[in-house]
Amino acid sequence: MKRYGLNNVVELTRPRPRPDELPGGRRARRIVAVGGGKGGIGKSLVSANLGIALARAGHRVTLVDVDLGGANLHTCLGINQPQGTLSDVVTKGTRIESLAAPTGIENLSLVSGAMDALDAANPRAQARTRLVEQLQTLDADYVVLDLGAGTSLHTIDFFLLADHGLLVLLPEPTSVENAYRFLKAALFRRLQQTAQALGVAHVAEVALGSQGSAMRTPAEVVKTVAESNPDAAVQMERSLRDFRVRLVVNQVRSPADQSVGRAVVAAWKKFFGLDMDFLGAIAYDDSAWQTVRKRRPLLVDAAGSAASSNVTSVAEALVALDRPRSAGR
Amino acid sequence: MTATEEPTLYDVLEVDPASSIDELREAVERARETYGTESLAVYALVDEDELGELRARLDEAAEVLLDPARRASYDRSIGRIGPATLWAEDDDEDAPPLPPIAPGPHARSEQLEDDDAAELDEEEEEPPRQHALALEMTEAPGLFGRTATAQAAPEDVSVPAERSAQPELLLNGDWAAAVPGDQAVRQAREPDVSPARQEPAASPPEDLPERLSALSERESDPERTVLAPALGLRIKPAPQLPPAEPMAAEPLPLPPAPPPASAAPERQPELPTRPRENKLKLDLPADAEFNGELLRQVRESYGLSLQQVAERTRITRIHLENVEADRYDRLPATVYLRGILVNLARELRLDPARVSKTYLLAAQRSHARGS
Repeated sequence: MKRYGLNNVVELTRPRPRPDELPGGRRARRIVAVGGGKGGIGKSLVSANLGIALARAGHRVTLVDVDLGGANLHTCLGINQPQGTLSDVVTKGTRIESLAAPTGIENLSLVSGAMDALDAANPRAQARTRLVEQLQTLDADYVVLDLGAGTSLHTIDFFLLADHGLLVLLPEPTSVENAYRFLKAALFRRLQQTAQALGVAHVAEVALGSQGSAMRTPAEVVKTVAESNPDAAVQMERSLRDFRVRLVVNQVRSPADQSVGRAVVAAWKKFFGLDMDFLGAIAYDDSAWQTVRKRRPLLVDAAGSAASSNVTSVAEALVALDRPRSAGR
Repeated sequence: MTATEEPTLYDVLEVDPASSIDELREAVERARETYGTESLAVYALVDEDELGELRARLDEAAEVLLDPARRASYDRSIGRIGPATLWAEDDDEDAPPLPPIAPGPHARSEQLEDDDAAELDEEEEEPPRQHALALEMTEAPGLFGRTATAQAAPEDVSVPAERSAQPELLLNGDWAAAVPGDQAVRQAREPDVSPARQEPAASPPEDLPERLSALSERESDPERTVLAPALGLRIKPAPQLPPAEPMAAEPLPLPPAPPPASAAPERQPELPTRPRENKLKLDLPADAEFNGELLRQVRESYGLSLQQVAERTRITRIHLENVEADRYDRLPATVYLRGILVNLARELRLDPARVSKTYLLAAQRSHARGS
């Protein structure tokens, strides 16, 4: 616990005020974290083009490359690596705002995550906390985080702090396997953090078992907690409801691939009792990898392609999720 | 449903219990796509045991729910109406509305009072267990061919009641053989769809006492002897019954059952106790608002006990009692309650739509007042 500075993270990952709670009815920024566990599944491509689609729809967007060890979002956007990177926040105390570089696309700026210091890919807890704090106060409508591969703690914590944890997967067993591993790790951490914050960690610990073993369903954990602390159980349940992943299936080639998104949503609900939103599938498209080769964004270079219009639909679906929240309540 | 309840087969398939057969087929196909061995979506999601369990449940759901007969039977076991809801409409088209709601020509007041008194005695004086046994008897053993049951221990007799309280019993493979009463029920219903179905109604009521006394000779239980004659009083063959055709079109949720494994009872159903063969003696206006009390009166005017209705409709007796007592807060969610009401209304030969609509409205009003 000490090692990861868990308590700080708990503080930061607690639900932030909803729009109607903000002074002056100001719209809150939305943080979108794009993850998926496996490398090479198009996280960066999705992040970059999602950012473009959102910017084109009139939102002020800041893309942040938090793939600290393998940042290459600038390449996807066809720009040079910005001078300042996230490592400056960690080492020099630079504010993130000042790092945001223009991308040549209106409303869209980029904060590069490239970190050259050897240890930079795994910043210390204190540095991470500073990063998270600043991300949450960035002046933008949408902050899109491009997460790295794997299930390291900092990747998962970025995923958990986001308003929209966006999971990218390919219709391939390896990708599906890694995506589930990532999701389960994130869910485990969410449960652990919530239990900790509520002072029922010891109870939840027993119910959770170790992360390696077959995990109980969240409902079972909540039930166990409810036996000794009903109030905490209610809060845990609420926190679990917030764990609502948005799914994007990338590189879809066949009708069978098309149905994978819906099936994953159904299976996740069936076994874990949690909702997931399927934002859409992105067609496998020759133009997509060609644009990557040319270091030009898909939405700019192949605007008419199927993949391109799919990404736009995903962005629309994402924005639609925010609408009832900001309008209602 | 609440978390503590056993998920139904509908829950497993994630469909509305009112789904049409086509919708169910789609759901089965969808489930196969999602949870089948070929599905990517469950790859590495949970361990194989858990997945195997789910697949077995899905197979069962497909098997039972895609078979109209088994589905109807299952629906009843969980106190819910299934395809019968849809059939209800056909029913209204094919068969002219049966005369049940029309005022009966018989002097009904005395009859009603008698029945009321009898019912009250039963309700108040007998402990529940005995009550159940006694009411069981009013079904007449001949009808259910329970020759074996008659000699058996009381535990056996109470099986049907337990069954309705534990729908999951149904889920255990060879349930038809496991539950003796069930076959009997199916057989009892069978004649309704066969040309021979008029026989029961045609059999003279004078025949009854004979059979009943023969019965009581076999039965040593005094409770039964006492109650049995009451049955004779309650039988009201309706001479002006509509012709056989529309009646035969009356869809029975239980089409012919597979031949029972055990020896078929020699004596086929003889006692015409189904309400459709009786006349409703209540004077109900077309715009009657149904509440629990009115439903109770209708039931009693047929001389039906709660237990009998429970067995016929497979609605648990507790639900029926709560419906009749207007205990809205103890009744299941509206979607299920509507099923119960429709089922009950059909059994009582009332207009299902009218009953469910007015009853639910009253429930709603009470809820609005309460909160």
